[in-house]
Amino acid sequence: MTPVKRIILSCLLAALICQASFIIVKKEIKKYQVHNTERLTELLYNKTPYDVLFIGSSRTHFDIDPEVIDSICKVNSYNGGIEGANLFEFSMMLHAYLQNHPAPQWLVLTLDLHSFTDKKFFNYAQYFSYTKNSVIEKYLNDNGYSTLRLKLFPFLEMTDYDDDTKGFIIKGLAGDSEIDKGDFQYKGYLSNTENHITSQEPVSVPAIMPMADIANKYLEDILQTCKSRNIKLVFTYAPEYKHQIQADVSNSGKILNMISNVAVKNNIPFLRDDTLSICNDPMLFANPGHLNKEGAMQYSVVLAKQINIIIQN
Amino acid sequence: MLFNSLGFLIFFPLVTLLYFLLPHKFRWIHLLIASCIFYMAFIPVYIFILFFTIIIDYIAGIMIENSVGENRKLFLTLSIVANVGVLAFFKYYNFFITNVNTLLHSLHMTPGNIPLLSIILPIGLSFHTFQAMSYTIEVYRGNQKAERHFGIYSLYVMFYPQLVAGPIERPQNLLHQFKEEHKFDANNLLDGLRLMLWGFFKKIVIADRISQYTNTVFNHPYEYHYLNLIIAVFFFSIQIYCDFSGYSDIAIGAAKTMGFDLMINFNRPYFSKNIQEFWRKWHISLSTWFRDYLYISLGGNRKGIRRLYFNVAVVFLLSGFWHGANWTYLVWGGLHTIFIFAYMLIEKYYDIKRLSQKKVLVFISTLFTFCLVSLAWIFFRANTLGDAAIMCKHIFGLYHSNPFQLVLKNVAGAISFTKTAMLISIAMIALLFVSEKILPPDLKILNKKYAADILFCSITLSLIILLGVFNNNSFIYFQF
Repeated sequence: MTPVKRIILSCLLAALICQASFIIVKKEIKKYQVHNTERLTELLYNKTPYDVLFIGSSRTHFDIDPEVIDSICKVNSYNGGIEGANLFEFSMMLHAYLQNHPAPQWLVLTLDLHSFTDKKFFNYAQYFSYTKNSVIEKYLNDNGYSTLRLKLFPFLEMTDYDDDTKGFIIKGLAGDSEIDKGDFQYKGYLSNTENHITSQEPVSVPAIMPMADIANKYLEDILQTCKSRNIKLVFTYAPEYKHQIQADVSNSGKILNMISNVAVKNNIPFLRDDTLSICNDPMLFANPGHLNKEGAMQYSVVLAKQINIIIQN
Repeated sequence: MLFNSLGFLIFFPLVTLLYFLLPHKFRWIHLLIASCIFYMAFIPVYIFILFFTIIIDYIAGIMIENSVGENRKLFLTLSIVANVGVLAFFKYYNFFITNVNTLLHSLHMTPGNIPLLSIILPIGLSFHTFQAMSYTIEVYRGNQKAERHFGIYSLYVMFYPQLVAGPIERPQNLLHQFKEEHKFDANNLLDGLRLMLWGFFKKIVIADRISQYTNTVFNHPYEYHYLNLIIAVFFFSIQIYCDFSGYSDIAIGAAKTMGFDLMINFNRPYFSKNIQEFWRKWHISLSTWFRDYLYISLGGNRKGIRRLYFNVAVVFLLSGFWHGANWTYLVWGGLHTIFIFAYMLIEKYYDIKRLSQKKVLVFISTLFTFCLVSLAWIFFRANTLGDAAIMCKHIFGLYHSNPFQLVLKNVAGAISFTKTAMLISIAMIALLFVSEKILPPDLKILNKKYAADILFCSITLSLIILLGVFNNNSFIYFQF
């Protein structure tokens, strides 16, 4: 056999091995990420109309239970919080959602201290399965994550998986799922265990949270989109345990003031839920930035009442 | 340009293809331009440092050849001073001044600090400087004719595959190859690509993954349980081997696709049964450089036992210092000096060759050598001597005030190394050792076995795609 034939045959065999592995990998990841798959499919592909859409980071995802919101506000809501997302991903998610869904009446946007950084995707690889949504495809391609190579060689998607994602395959094979025993999901929400804060977190030296100009452009884009699609906007700042997240960020005051100014200027209600009494109860927090299952239940009741007042007015 | 970057994925096939499409007389220009582009992808302006040493050594080579008597020595000295001067200025100036400042401070003798230079070390400076020096020394010794073609000589120093991290070639091996016409040979292409693939596997699948563990622990050694420290030390031994030998494999393979033969730089060093054997198999191009141009020049073993020990110490300490301007590298070199001395003493009174007759003893001595080398790597990798000392103290003192972490977290509490990463690492390291036990370093044995070759190449390529860490990590030896 000639060397050239050997090279070609090796490449073909490798492609075959990778593609076969990829089919198994995809299946097992879907099996493990049953919650993420379901919610991204709902947000990016389905057409269900919702009255209220929640967009934000993990502090939306784990903190707001649409079942509570729906029952108190008599609306149909969906939790579209994405792990580690900032304004770039908020903006993308809103546009991608509007691609198929009718515009919601209300958009509740949870802004964090890290929402204004210039980082793009927190986990871009999770979107590769949803490139039939043209907004997702455009955002990926525009930010250096080519989708063309994946159309030609789908298995190359695996080069974008980190070890955590690779671990999902093993967990999927073992029959595990990302919904832990005792937890549940409902319309995009995933309950966040019954663990609670047991000890005081060590005090760290506050660091400056970078604020990028581009983030303000994404925020402006969200404002304009809501205006043009007649979507009413509400800003929230999620509960945190005894302001510990803010204590770690030396410019937290500046960031929160900036959000307040935007809210006032555009006549948008801004719910500062870090001042609620539940924020002093360690039994309601899985960690300083995220509520646990019971905390989310209690907070969702409070948030629903706040939203209800806004809707009624 | 990094080998493990998207840029190189385009650069390499383009350069190789153009090389064969061009007539022979234009190929040196093509390779020289490609090498400049490759080097300038890092810090473009530093190409002028390269040009400076190239011009000096080119002229020195011709002057040495044209001179007689003491003048030959004079031109060689000028060339060496120029090369070592550049190295000293960029690499050792700040180290030297920092230590002088510290000394003056401790003696209360200074009104203010001597200023440091705020410069970045030119990439691969130690490598191409040593390669350039080997040229003038060989011309001086009469083993190599002075190169009259400036372009070819420039290419000898700048040939892109080995420009930034070796192998440090000798002029007798490389210079003539630029003048020979290499016709496209599919066998060379296969040999080269196969070796590159193996290099990428070592770098992307193993070294870049376990670097996440070693970096976390070595940057804050006092925060971790002794078992985490031990894992980090052994992981670093594997990381540096996979990183550096991976680079060498890619370099040798890339050159081979165009028909160039570069010297083997690693010959399965972790299978060495003793420390002397280890140094015959680790970074061969540097070890032989020091042997040929320093150890032998100092008299080698021809001037008595005391001088022999002195020469060995000089070689190892300078070898340590060659790696970097930090006391940690000197201690690393010092430790290897002690290991070699100990081995020489044992060898004097005990017939070590008898060891190779018993498999158990071979295994124990191989493991012991690996542990010794790993111990020395602590000093090589540690950020400071203090960190290295703490690591040794905590490892040998079985420090366990902080709990052992199966899932490694950094000091901020973020996960650095998951269980999956550990599982993949252990499996791939095992695969590496098994493969290296079976296959010789150039992998040419696979030429005769079609099925095994196709299986080897396709599985290696699949593992790179399936398990690679694609974050464009730089190579460790680029900093030297």
